[in-house]
Amino acid sequence: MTNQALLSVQNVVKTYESTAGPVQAVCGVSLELQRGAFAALVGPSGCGKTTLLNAIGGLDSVTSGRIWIDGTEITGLSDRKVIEFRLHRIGFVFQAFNLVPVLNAWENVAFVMELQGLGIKARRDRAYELLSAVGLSGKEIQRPAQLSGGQQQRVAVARALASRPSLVLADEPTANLDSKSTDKLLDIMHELNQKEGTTFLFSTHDPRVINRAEVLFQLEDGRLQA
Amino acid sequence: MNRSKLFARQSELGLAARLAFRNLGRNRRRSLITGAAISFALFFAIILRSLQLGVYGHMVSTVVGSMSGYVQVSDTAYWPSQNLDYSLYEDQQWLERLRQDPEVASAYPRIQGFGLLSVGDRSGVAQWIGLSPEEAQSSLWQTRLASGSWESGPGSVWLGKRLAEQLQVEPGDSLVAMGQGFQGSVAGASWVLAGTLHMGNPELEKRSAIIELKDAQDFSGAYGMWSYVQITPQRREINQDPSAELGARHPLDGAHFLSWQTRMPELIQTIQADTTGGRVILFILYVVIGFGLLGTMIMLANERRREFAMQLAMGMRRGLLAGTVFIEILLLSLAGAATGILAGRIAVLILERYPLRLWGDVAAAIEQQGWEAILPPSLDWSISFTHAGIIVLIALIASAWPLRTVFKTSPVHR
Ligand SMILES: Nc1ncnc2c1ncn2[C@@H]1O[C@H](COP(=O)(O)OP(=O)(O)OP(=O)(O)O)[C@@H](O)[C@H]1O
Ligand SMILES: [Mg+2]
Repeated sequence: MTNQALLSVQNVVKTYESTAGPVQAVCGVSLELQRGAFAALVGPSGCGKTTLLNAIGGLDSVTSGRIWIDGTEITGLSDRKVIEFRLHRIGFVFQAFNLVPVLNAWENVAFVMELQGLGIKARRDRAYELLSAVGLSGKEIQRPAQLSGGQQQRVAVARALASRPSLVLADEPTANLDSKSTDKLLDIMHELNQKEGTTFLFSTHDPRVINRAEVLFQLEDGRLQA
Repeated sequence: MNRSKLFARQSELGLAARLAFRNLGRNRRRSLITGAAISFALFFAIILRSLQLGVYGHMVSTVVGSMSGYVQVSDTAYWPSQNLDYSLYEDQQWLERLRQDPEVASAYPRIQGFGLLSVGDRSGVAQWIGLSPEEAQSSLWQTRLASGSWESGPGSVWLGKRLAEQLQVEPGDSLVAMGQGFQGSVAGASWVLAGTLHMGNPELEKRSAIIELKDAQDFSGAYGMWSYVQITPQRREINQDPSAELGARHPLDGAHFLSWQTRMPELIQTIQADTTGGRVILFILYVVIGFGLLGTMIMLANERRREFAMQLAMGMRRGLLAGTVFIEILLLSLAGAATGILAGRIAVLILERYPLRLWGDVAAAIEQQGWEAILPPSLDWSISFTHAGIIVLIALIASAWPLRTVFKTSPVHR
């Protein structure tokens, strides 16, 4: 691996066992991502984007291959250590169901910091700062059910950044949003990428989103296209 | 564990408790219904068991407690013939020592036998019982007075209310008593009715004639003798038998200590048969409630599957997530149990104040067997706590389902 690369994926293969036999979702992908990048993983439905992102985030195991993040080989960590690594080093934004329904906006943003054991003052300050950065000042004590889909995704982005992770992974974060909300979310993500220097890797098949990415990884049938 | 990790653990617990608490309010109707199911089952169990155990206690205390005694000390040949000839010689020193025993609530000597009472052309069979002055002054006997008074001179007699009605006598009237005395002698005396008594048991009310111990000894010719000493121990629960223990501490020549359980095996059998019936009903109730709770838990687990996955993906430890769910269910079942105990207690206290009275054929059948047809509840707190414990345990066992879901859910988002 190159020393400067924040993320390095080497020959990752993921095979699912299904009733119809084994399915190769990712077939030997290698890629590198530089620190501070704003990158997209694109490709048609079923090409393996989610599978690859899950592997990078340590949510799912790989069949073979290795993944390094910030110098740590996460494919070599025990389950406990992976959870610990996720908690401190990776931020996630999912397509939906990102938020804890019984926590309000700022508590959701502070969720990861609370798991890390940060004091309430530090948590609240950081959460309010981030909610303001994603344009949700004044919505701090609203529960997710009282927010629109786009607002919920912005809370999720704020949360992903809360503990200053090395890498934010977002699997189709705009899939459920209209074009206006999509633009807004991408503006925010890009701004945070610039301001906080956080590395972003998001998947999408939306051309509007693809245009915003500074680095593109094209996936087709589980293989990276040149 | 270093300091920051320790701090994280504290913070985690706070988070778990907060999530648990808020999750309770999330589906308020479901929480209420689940809590209410727990409360109601407990309420029902408490009332059922309290009435059941109360009735047994009532049976035992009326039939055994005030009459033949929880523990009886008698000549080894006295039981079961209850023949006056097998009486004990008075031993006041022994009696005093017995009364000092911390396990002994009271110990009263008695002498008793059967005789015929008559007034004019009316007569009836009576069991005469000679009570010591201490026993006659005990609150139990004092509260039994239906008419007349306990103030009296020698030759006074107090009759069970029904016996007095049958003989048509009022306080102040004289009666003639006859019977078999000590060692074949003929007993005879004239008594004056001093009062009538409620005996708590119709059969006893029809046949009891209470006289003073001294009068009874004179009447029967068994001077200086006791038929038995009636002991009320501190531990009176149905499953307690302190007779052997007491017998070992206070031996008396030629006498033995018999528990009511030994003297009246049929009473114990009746109770055991009945209590099994009650337990079966409760078991069915608990099975039904248990499956109901399990259904709720499965629903809860399914609803939260995605949320669990998300929280795990964020880096929440499975143990902590499981703890959150566990605390939620624990809080819910404790709240349900507390309400159930409260409601059950109130109901039991009301039933104590206004006991259920049976009526019709059932009542008649019960009275025929010698029991008063009322259902007084037991006030024993252990009934409430035992059943609260059982139902909370059932809820926690049902929580195994969502806990299993927590441990099986993959953090992978779908
Ligand atoms: N758990 C699984 N068991 C079996 N096959 C799976 C499983 N998950 C995914 N697959 C298969 O792996 C392939 C890649 O799936 P993946 O979800 O990674 O695609 P994707 O690029 O994220 O698609 P989309 O854009 O629709 O989200 C698909 O063929 C899919 O059917
Ligand atoms: Mg996908």
